[in-house]
Amino acid sequence: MPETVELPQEAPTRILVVDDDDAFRETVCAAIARDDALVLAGQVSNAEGAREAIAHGEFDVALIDLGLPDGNGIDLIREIASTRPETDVMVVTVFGDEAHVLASIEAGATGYLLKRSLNDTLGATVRELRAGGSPISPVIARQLLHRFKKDVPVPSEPTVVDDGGLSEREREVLLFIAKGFTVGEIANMLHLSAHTVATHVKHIYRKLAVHSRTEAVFEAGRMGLL
Amino acid sequence: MTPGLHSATLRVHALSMRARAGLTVAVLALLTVAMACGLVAMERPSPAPGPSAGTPSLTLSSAQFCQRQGISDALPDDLCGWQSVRLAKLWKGPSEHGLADAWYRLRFHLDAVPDRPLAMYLVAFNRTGRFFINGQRLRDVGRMQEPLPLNWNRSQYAVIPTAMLRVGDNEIAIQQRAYGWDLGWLAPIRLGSEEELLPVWQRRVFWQNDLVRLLGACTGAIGVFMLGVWLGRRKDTMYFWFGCVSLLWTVFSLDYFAIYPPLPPWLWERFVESAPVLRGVLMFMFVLRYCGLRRPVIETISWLYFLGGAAAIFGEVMSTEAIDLWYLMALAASAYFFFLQTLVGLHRSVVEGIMLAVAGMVQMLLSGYDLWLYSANTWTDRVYLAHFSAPLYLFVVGTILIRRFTESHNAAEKLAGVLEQRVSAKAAELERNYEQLVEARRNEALALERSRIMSEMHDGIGSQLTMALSLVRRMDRESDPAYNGEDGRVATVLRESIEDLQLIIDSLEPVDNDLLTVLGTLRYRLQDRLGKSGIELQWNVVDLPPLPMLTPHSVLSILRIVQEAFANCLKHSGATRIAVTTGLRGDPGVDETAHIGIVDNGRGIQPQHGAGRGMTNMRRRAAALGGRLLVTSNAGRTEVLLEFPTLRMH
Repeated sequence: MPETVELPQEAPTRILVVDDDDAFRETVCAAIARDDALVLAGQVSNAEGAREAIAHGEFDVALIDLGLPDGNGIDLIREIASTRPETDVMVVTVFGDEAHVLASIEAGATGYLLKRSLNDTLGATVRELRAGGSPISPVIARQLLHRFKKDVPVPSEPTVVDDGGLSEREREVLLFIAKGFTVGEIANMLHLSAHTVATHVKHIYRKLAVHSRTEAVFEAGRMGLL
Repeated sequence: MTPGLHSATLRVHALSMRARAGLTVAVLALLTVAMACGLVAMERPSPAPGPSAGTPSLTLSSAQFCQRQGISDALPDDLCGWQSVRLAKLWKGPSEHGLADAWYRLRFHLDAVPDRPLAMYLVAFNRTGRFFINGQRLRDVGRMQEPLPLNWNRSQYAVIPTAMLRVGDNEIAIQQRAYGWDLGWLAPIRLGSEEELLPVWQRRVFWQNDLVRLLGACTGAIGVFMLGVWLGRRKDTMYFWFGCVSLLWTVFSLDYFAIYPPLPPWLWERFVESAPVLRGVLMFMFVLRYCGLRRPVIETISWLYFLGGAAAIFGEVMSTEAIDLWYLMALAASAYFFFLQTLVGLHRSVVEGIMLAVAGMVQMLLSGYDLWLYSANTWTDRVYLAHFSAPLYLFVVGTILIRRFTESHNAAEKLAGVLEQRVSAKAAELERNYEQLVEARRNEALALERSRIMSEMHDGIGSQLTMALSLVRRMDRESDPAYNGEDGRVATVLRESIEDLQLIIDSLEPVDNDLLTVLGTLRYRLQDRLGKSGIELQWNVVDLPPLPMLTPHSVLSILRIVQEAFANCLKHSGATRIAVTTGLRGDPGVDETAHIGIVDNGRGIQPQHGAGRGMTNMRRRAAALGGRLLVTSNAGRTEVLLEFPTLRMH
């Protein structure tokens, strides 16, 4: 990727792999082994092992598959996001489709990987993520604009509580991404660095996670649960 | 009724109101002029003797008078106590009960017997009687038995045949009969030619009797109409009071033309005496309600004033002077409510106020005149005028009331129209909402189904293919020492299967009908491969409005066409740069087309590839979109242009 930002090579990024597919875990481990900047912190094949690792393990990035035999990956993401805010969570998905990715981001994930191209992109994606940038597709960008509907009138839905919403710049970035522009092109158009644009996306992901929690609180209050 | 609506109605009515006001003023002026003419005509001194020589024209103002009970054809003798009196003579019988009789004897001198009959005109004669000329009976004024006819405001006219006249002194004898409680009277008698006196009499009958009858019919009709209106709207009591006033005028006017009133004479007389004050009180009730005011104390006082006076009249303890004073005070008080009414009228509109003021003033003036005439007992040739003011006043007020009624009716209709509009707008809105709801439900169901299939693909076939791909790659790597990361044949088929599945799933993603999001998604998927191939992608797109034709089906076609075009560039062209363009042509809703261009700087499409299966598939898919594929290929510039209509395909 052209926007890749190089990190100083001092501390390798420790990675936890959570997936029930043995062949895939093997591939990932091989990819990590090939990359000097990455080090395997652990690999587990079920939710139980993952919880154990989350509680006691030392890692910087968790690669999580959503479909585990004994639990939901989303719950694991939420757990990591609430107990280890400095940890990045990447969801491993087959298609990078909107439904899976948005649900993960709402739970607190800041990035995602396509399973089939992981071999080629793992190192670059992890580095970018640690440097502050998150990947985002046009469809996801468009959905994010909907979630933070401030000037997108959707009359039948309840008004969202004010949780800061999106800044003008963030909205602009999302709109450009939705129209198919890359981070580099957007940086050129807005006279920003590619890094800044990528960081905006990560901020938006964080906001969405907060936003989802606030919305849940708001909904609960509305239903008389709080 | 909202104030806005009301004022709007008022504005609409302003023009026609002015026309109506003009008409009213015209009628008013006509009536006044006509009345003045009538009065002048009647008070005009008798014209000089006409050309018919020998017919005298004279007024007999003095008579011999005596009272003797009983009817006989013979003149009373000197024992009756004849006395000389001036006419008009008022007299009263010896007892309040029963009937009272009196005789008059008048003489006039004729130098010669005229060649034509002599007319005799009596402007006032109460109540009934018989005329004798030179001892011969001429005619009766009405029946002499009870009930006696009501003649008090009925002038009398008789023709004396020449045969009854003689040269020298002639004598007119009149027997007069009245009720004991009543007054009898006789006005001065005029003698003259028929040509002279007949028109005078007819004019008097017209003004004092016929016209009053006509006006009585009018006020009766207005009264019945208003009571009908009130029956329909009980809470608007002003219509009730106004109807009562109108009907009272009609009943009261009977006095001027009915020979036998609807009540026994004594009762009728008392009723007529108390009616003016009753009318005043009813008017006051009406005016208060018309003004939207209530004055409970004054209203009670008014009713007590009327009831007290009426009781005194029926109990016969009121002197004539006291009755006159009773009238006068009521008349003075009526100035107050006319004033009130004019104020309120002015507040509504100037025209209404002026009309009410004029009508009220005319009524007060004419009533005052009548009161004076009645109390003066002159019995000269004067006309009672108050009833002329009635139709004017009733017309003005009736017009205003009807206008107000129609106004509120119009306003109500307008309001009903507005309501109906609102209701139908609401109904349409509900229908729209319902349709939206149905649409939303359908979309929701679709989305649910879509996410179910997605999750099936993701966790099922997608995962399995991906797993298979990584297995095959591992096998390739392990079996081939020279493995350089290039996918083998099986791995390639698997990868392409996954990519095609990816395309199908991407076509199902929510893109909000935005073509750029569709193309952007493809770019996002291809980004890594393009970067690896060292090809620069130029995103030379223009933003397009939402295209409703972008359904998952058409999106998949577009994605496949564009992906194929990219694949051709990647595989065969050797290009270093690919540009993607978008645009619109034609008129929206008519022949508008969108176009997507993929331009590369490669070596151009080689014949062995150009005729290939890929290009054929692309053309077929373009045709399925209702569009076409335009390919221009030169060395250094190859453009694949997809063009398709933006109207939704059915």
